Amino acid sequence: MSGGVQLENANPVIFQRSGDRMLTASEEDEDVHDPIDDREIFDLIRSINDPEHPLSLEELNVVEQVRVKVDDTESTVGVEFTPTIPHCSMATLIGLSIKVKLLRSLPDRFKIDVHITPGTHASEEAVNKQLADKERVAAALENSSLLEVVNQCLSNRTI
Amino acid sequence: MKEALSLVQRISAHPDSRCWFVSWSPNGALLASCGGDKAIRIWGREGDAWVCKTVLQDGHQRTVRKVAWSPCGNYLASASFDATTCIWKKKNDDFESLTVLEGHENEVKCVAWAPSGNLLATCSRDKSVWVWEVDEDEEYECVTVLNAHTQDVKHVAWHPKKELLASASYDNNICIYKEEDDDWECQATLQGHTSTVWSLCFDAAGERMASCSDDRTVKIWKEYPSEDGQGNLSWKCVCTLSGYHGRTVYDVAWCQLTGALATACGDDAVRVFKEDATASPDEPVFSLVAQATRAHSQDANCVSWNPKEAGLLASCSDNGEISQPLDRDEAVRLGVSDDHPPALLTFLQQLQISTHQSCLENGRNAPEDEAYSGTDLREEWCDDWTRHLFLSLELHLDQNWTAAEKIYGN
Repeated sequence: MSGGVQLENANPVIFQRSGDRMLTASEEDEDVHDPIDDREIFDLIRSINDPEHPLSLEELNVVEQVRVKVDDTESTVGVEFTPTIPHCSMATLIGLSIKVKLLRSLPDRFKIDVHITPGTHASEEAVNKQLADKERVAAALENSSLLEVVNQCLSNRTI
Repeated sequence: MKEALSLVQRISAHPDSRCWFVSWSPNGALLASCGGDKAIRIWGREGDAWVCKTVLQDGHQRTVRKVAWSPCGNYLASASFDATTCIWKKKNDDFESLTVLEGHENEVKCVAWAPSGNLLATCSRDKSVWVWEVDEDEEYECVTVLNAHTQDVKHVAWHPKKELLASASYDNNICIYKEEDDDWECQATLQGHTSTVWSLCFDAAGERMASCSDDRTVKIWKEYPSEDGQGNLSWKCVCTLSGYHGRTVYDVAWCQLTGALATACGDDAVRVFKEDATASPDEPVFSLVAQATRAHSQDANCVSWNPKEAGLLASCSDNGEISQPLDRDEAVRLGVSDDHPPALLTFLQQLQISTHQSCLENGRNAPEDEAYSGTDLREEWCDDWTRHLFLSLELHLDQNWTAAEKIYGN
């Protein structure tokens, strides 16, 4: 019987979703190259589902637009994410989901760095190191069950 | 006088997946490559071009991470994420699978053949290094399991002259192993790098070793007689090359013919360093003599010098390509070639997403994952991705899962 599953963070603080992006005239112009900017990356990751709650990473303030740094000319993306509690054991999984979403969505030229907002997690160095190790990420994603969990986080939930 | 790296040929070796490693055969005529598509490809020269001679497809169930040629050139060993090492025997132009070495608990990261041809070393994410012995009947037997590292072991390399083994690890250290009284043991632990050591190699004489790391440096180590008076040797870091690499340095290769040092870096570049002949051997100076800053359009994973042809270097990349820049006093010709493949699917999209729905409902093992056995489950995942992996699986399937069974105890 599955009853009484203990959630780690039973009463998370929920934040407001930001509105949709307003398109400018230059963005609508087909002839002008749109550089990838912070907002675009944020739009990719904001709806990632939290593994524990029926909420998105944006709603839990795990990801924020101010913590996304993109340099389109250098082809680098840096995302800082904030686990809801300092001993969150899902931190690596959340980081992996963000990384996978960006790897699947962005052009191959991008170097993607995902790490924990400094000072917000007890094992941030260990988690950051694992997320930065592309061989570990590659091997983990060859594991079908882990991949399944990641895909669940990345799926579009209909509310 | 600064030299230049110019591109000889660019090959799309492992379409739609990354190429992890390339290795030249001992006679320099063949190049083996392996990658995320679980295949090994053997390339040979036909006239001026390099063509694919053989594809070894069904040896592994997961990514093939590294390949190594035996010193005689008749055997090829491949290390895979499926936790096995396959030994292939060359028969004319083809290879057949001779045997599969099992034992590691998870991904095998490297395999290396000792110069004598009788010993083989493998290392894995399970933190261990295994040494295998092969006899005249082509039988392989594990002679020792070395647990000197505290984390994932990335690379192993044999000394060119002595029976000495070195390993590089995610724990930021390098370990040196030697056989003492019929027993293999860790002789020394070299600390110095501040992050994962990805690769290492010895120079032709075996007096020095180069290591490269996620800390963006390359370190040169030299052997010195130890102070303990017992005839042991110790290794000290005599040089650190920093400021050249923009990101993780994934591979370093020391040319046995010219002494040049090549590196493959996560900033897509391949670089060549040469030693200053006038510097003291205890304080060597290496300078950058050539670099191909856009050798690939993605991370360069491996560099390998041709053992017979001076200056010929092969490198491979995340975009599945192999390229061969040639070291020569010529103008540099760089840039993306015309036959660059169109936007590739990332390796992630290649993977089959199998739901294993019945397995998850019953909390039983997914058939292909050895790691999923009984109570070892939790330990396996504990130190890796999430302490509560199964807890989260339960939560996700909550709506449909009425007779759920907790996979591990409280």
